[in-house]
Amino acid sequence: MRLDNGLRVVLSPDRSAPAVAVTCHYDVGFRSEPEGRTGFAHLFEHLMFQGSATLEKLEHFRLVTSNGGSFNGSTRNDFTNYYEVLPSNALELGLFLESDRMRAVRLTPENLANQVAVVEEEVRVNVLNQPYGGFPWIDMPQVLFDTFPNAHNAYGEFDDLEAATLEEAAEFFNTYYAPANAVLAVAGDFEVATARRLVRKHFGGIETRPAPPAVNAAEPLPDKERRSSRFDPLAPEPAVALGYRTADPIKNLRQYVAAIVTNLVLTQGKASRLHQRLVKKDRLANSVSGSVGLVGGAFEVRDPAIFEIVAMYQSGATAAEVTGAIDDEIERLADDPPTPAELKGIQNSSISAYLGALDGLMTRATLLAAFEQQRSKPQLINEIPAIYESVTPEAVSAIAAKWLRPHTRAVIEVVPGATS
Amino acid sequence: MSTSYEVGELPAIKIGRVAEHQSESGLKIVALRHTSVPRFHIRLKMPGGKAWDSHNGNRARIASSALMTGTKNRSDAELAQELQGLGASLSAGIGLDHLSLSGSGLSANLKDYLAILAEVLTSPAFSRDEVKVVKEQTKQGLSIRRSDPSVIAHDRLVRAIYGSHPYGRTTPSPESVERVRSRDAHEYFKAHARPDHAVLVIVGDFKPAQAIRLIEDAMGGWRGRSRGRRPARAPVSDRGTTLLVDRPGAVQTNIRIAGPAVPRSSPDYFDLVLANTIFGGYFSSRLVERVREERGYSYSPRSSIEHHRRASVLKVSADVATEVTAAALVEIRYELGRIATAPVSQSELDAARTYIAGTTALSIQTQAGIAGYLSTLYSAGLDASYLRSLNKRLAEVTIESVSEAAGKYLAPPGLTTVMVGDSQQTADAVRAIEPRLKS
Repeated sequence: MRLDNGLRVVLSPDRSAPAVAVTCHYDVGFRSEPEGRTGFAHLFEHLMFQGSATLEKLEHFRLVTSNGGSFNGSTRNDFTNYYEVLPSNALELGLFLESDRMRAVRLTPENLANQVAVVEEEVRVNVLNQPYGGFPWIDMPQVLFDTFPNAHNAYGEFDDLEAATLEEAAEFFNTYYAPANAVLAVAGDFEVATARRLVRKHFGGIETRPAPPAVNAAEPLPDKERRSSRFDPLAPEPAVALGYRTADPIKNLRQYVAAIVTNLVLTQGKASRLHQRLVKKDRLANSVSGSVGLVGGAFEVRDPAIFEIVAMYQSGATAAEVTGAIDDEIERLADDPPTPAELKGIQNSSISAYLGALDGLMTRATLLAAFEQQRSKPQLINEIPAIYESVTPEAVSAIAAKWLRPHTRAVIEVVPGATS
Repeated sequence: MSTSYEVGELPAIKIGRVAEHQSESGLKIVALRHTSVPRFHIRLKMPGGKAWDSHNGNRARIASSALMTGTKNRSDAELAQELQGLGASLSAGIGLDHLSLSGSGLSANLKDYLAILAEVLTSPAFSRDEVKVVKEQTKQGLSIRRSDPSVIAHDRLVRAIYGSHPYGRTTPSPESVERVRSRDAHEYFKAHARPDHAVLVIVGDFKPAQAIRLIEDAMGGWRGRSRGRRPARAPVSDRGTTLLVDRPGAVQTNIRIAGPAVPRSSPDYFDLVLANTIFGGYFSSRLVERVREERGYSYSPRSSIEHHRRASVLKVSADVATEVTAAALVEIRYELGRIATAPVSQSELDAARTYIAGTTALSIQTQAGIAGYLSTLYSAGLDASYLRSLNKRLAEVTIESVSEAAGKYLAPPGLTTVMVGDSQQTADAVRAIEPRLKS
């Protein structure tokens, strides 16, 4: 469903329980931020909760909670979303609230100052006052990437946050919060005809504005290994993070999923290659973990995404020993494909975990909205398990051989207890 | 365009028939059919957490961390790969009161999964090599936890409210782990991982009678009586001590305020639930609206009621910028004092009631959600009727009964305050409003 003002709508009914999830995704994120305004997309997300033309400050929250629902918003590299999970009797309230702030945001000096303070506390609690705070999600893009959209501190420098103005916020709203730049997804207990009618009623009259041009975040692979140290006065133990580039998640989804599987072969659980090597055999590390994607997900991202491996290692070991052992294992995987049982284990557990995640209405709505927004293909939500199934042992080796090369990666060491 | 909208009646809390079964071994099985996805979730809780460990909790810690590192028949990697192949997960956990095993998987593989669960329970290896690795991991984990300001605040708070009771133990030093031998961990496991007081909750896409039969078949060999001694009842301090713990250079102060609360079975429990909700239990609470949305002092101020087997606690938390420490304490105490002494409004009460009813219903719609909820209820000696009667119990709460509960449990003089932050920058201002301040 697409309204005349350009808003795209995905409806996914499920009558099994009396609940609905409503999410509105805007195609704006860390990558859309102007230079000198790091953290602005997230700050602006906070402002979108501060009132509208019709609602005073605090009213939005109260309407959701006093009707038995919950709400939140999140800012990611490639989108910002706002959502409510509500008892199904309150579906129309959710649609009203999202249409209401899409129509107009209430920007006041008091609300801006208040939310700059709140965001700064958020950064203090999650980063500045926290050992390993933001490691490596804030650190890694700054080392692995070069261009501003990819490489800046997404939470924001305090100077930038404090310099933000109401005019900039108004401009940001006008540019990025147009209906034509948004996708609305609704999942849960409703009749499709009713939902269509209510969506038209609330969103149909919102004025048409042009969608902004897409962000160009493309950049070449690093041409040599990048190394960086994070001096962390609060951290007591050493750690190292390795970041690699990977296949384009939109244009080459199959290879991208093969990269996810490769990451899991290396890092997932006690059967994984790196656990067996680093934790068990060499006794260099105490834990190894990994991920593919960007902030907040594997599938809701555009290129360039990151293939990451993180190891907490023993204080007697060195980062060089740890990365050396990881290189060995990657080399071995590139030469010898995973065994059928090894691959099957990763595929089965990934598919099962994916189905488990879809049990949550909010996860379902989020994926539907992201797939519509980034791929015009919401039905992909049903095809992911088959893509996991189709990954071959050779495809895993090919990922290791092609993408996981030392000269195109970033290595970040946590130097514990040090300020410089 | 429209600013009008209709909201219908809040739906009732919907929960299917919960099958309960008592095994000969003493194991209580609770099964619920929930077919949203072709999977199942299992939660097995056995009395015997860190507070049941007569040492500092390390034997309990190592026992749970080492459990999944292998059985008599399978190595850690074989165990992990077998589970992955079934599209399943299984992990051990340790709390203050319980040793637990939880996991999930594809319903089609339930039988094979239960065989692994039984194997882990009846023949864990606790091999010396594996325990050695686990000890290293635990040491590093403890070292990291002890550097985390919220853990430091938690440690100081429990020590202040529980004193020498095992609930008051702080995070032990990494070195203290050295003393635990693999035999100690195994002995600890054998003493506590027994079916006689255990509760196994299973929720998912299956027929409950069949799931119970499969569990009986698989777990028939799991026998024996637990030898744990439960900790004594833990009185929560109501002396109202205020403590400032120095963390030089801290950019924030972690404020924690706590006092006695009542268990879920208490007649005035729901009065306290709604008093707490209105005070600080949700985003539209007085605490959040004042401390965050008005003052901008804290990202996530909140209050909650925590239950352990031998104590219930009301706890308020706010992490605030160093320079507003005293000001934030004033605001929090102002709101505590206000709700303890003046009636809440009818609209505040109605909003909180609907919030609890609605979000509880939402939280039990996934297999994982309802499994966790039932596990908590049954291992606390309650059952599914708690959920079925929730809305009725909430409806019985009045402005007067909220005020009474708030006066009893939220009045500042009986609450213990712990602040962890840079005392050089904060102590003078805090002392100005709290002359009895200890550090």
